[in-house]
Amino acid sequence: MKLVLKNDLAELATLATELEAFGERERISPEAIQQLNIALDELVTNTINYAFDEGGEHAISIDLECGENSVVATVTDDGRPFDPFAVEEPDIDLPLEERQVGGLGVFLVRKLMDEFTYARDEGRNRVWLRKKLKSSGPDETETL
Amino acid sequence: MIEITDERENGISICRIQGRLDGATSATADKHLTSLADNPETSGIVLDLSNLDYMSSAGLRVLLMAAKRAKNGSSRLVLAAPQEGVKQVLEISGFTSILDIHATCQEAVGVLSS
Repeated sequence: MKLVLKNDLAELATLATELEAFGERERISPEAIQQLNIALDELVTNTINYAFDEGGEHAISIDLECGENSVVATVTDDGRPFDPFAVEEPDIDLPLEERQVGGLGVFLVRKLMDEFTYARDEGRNRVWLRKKLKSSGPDETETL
Repeated sequence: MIEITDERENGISICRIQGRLDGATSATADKHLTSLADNPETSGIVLDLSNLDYMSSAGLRVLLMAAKRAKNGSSRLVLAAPQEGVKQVLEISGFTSILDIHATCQEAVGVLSS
């Protein structure tokens, strides 16, 4: 499935709706779809908020492919070069007073996905994600 | 989409947050919680998450800011009844060790009342 979003945070709702439909078609558990949604949401939100210094309308493309044991997603944008995985991980052991708000989004991507890579390719950022799927029998239902 | 409703019981605000808390809706939630935390009549805030279907790091930011704000204003923010997906996000990010999270709203109110 290919999804093209505009650089507008209101598109997060489109992302959610499209992912849910994709999950139903491909019979992916709601749990895995929500995890994939969070990962894509974090990447798209960062891109919308920080990638386009000059403003204007831009397209963020998401390609989704469901294999037998995993889902693969590729996010592409024409914003300024940015490798989200080069960002330092937040310290999640600090007490409330010292906890910082930055860096948690990419941290969630790292934790919720099984593989992730970044490449700058022909003037575009490309993030590639893979999420393993639990094999489940036809009668087995997973709840969120 | 997000919907937030409040109920007040002896200085404790029970704030029910419904829908999806993400980068598109976090400003609304932030504004709401800030005004609750800044109200000198608020002795505690229970955030009822039972109808919150989804939360990204934008939501974590809102919770962290509200908890810090409440603490500075000598009140407390307590979370109640997160769904599995939201709970997982709280756990991964280490928020379960810095925020007070209870299984039910009633339990959370009890903690603030005692």
